[in-house]
Amino acid sequence: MKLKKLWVLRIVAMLITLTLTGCGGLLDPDEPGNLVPKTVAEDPLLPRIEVNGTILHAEAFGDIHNPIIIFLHGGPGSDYRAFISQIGVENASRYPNERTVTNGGLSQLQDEYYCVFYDQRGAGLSPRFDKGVVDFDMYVADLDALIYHYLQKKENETGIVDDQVYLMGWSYGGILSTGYINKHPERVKDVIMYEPGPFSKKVWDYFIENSESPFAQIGEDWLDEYLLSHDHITPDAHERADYQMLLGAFRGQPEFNQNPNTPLWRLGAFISSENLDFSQSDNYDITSNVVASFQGRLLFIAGKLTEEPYPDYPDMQMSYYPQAEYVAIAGVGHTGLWEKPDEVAAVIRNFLTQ
Amino acid sequence: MKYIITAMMMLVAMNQLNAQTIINNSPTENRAYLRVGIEPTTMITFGYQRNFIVGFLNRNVTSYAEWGTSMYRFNFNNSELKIGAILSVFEKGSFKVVNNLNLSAGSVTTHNFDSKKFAAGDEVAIGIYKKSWFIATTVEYEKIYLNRIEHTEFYRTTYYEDAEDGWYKGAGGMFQFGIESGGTIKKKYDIHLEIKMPFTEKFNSYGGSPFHVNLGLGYRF
Repeated sequence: MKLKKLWVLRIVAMLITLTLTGCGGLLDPDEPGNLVPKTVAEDPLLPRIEVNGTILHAEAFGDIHNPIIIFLHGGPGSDYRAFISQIGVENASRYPNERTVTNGGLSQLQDEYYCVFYDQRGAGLSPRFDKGVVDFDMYVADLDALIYHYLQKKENETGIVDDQVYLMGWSYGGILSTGYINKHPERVKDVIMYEPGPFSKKVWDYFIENSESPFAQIGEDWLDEYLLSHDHITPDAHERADYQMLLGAFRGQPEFNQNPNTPLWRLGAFISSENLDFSQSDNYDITSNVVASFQGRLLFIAGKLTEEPYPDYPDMQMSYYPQAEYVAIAGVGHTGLWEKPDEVAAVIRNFLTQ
Repeated sequence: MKYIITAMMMLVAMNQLNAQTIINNSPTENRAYLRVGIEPTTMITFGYQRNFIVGFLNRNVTSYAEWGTSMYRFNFNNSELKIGAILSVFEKGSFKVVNNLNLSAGSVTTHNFDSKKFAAGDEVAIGIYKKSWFIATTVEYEKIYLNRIEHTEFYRTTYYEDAEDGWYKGAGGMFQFGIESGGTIKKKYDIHLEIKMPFTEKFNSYGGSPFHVNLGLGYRF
């Protein structure tokens, strides 16, 4: 009997010790790399550049003698993985030397252009920032510094002095492109956008009026999963917030007809809650200088499936540019870049060689 | 020490509870209940309460066990089992402070991961408890102590191939501040409504529904 009591005491002591020492062996949800990938701040193997006082996850494809295209991903908070991947092919690894395909998605344009991809500050595999630190002007300054970095690199490596680049913005990347052009119209030769986010409050209002109420999503599996996950994970730390937010990736907006298999590395939850897309603003201006000062052209590409619920959207958006063309891609929605990259790339080549 | 002695004297001196729904203090020993609402998703919960006397406190304690599941994905993999006990800790006339301590184990399946969680929670209700109705404000805290997380093939293929499966230190905690009210009809039937506002344990946005709302129906026997 005494022996039994002794064993019970030992087990209790062991449990108490385990509890007090932090339950050795348990994984930490907030440790980088456990639930979501490490960023360039933690993983030295990721490709990067240093501009405007920060490190950004970035890489370039192609011959730097060629014209430069800078690709701007969506979100805010997403990354460039879907730009360099395509449906039916293994998704691009975050480590360039582990990729089985090196010209996937729109990176296929590297045969004619020097293609630069980067994750915006706080997004994707670029370092995280706490709430309230990053604003739109900082995003514009980052892009300006990045453009300068690659134009300087071109000059250093080839002797070619170039002072303009092409921009290609997808979704939120279109808002950022427009904000950049509004401030630095002389730096951009032409701009291509795939379903850019609203450039003004007027377009935001049109977009909201023609979108389903979020309540219409009640009962959808993804929403039920997302909500119930809050009983298991609360989004206080960056990693947990990023992880939880992924449950809604490419699912939350039925009118967009997005393919939920579209890949990405990390959604920056904290950065996506900043008002970088002006969705919470009643008054903002990222266009007033574009018509008067921008000498280039806009190519507006949209998926036919997204065009249907928002028929006036392309014209409303294109009215902010002095010269604009419109092309619709059949059979796809907001993730058409990943689903039909060959078709989109052909449209871009045709536009840029006109 | 003075405060501990005072608290113990108050406990011993307290009368039996009169709360209607979160506590069953009627002469009947048992209550079955059903609750529907949004917390954190659209949930339906089945519960059972039983009263008993805690000898050393000389108090009536309401113990309970309940199982709640998502209405839209009604199964054990998307549910939570909770056991707890409810006890009045202060009482003066109709004014009462009621404590609800509980332990829970839950499961969720998603297209990205499956999680099992183990948590402990405590709710304090402060309000007016009459014989046939009550109204109270509530403060609730739940701490997740342990998670078992396993990732799906979809998650590895589409987002992060090196995600770690295994036992995790608890992935958070939450506060809820709310108001609840209820009444009893014909001494047997209870109706109960609560509205709560959730926050993370660091008082950040909870990220899901901005409010949690529950409607409960009970039967005493």
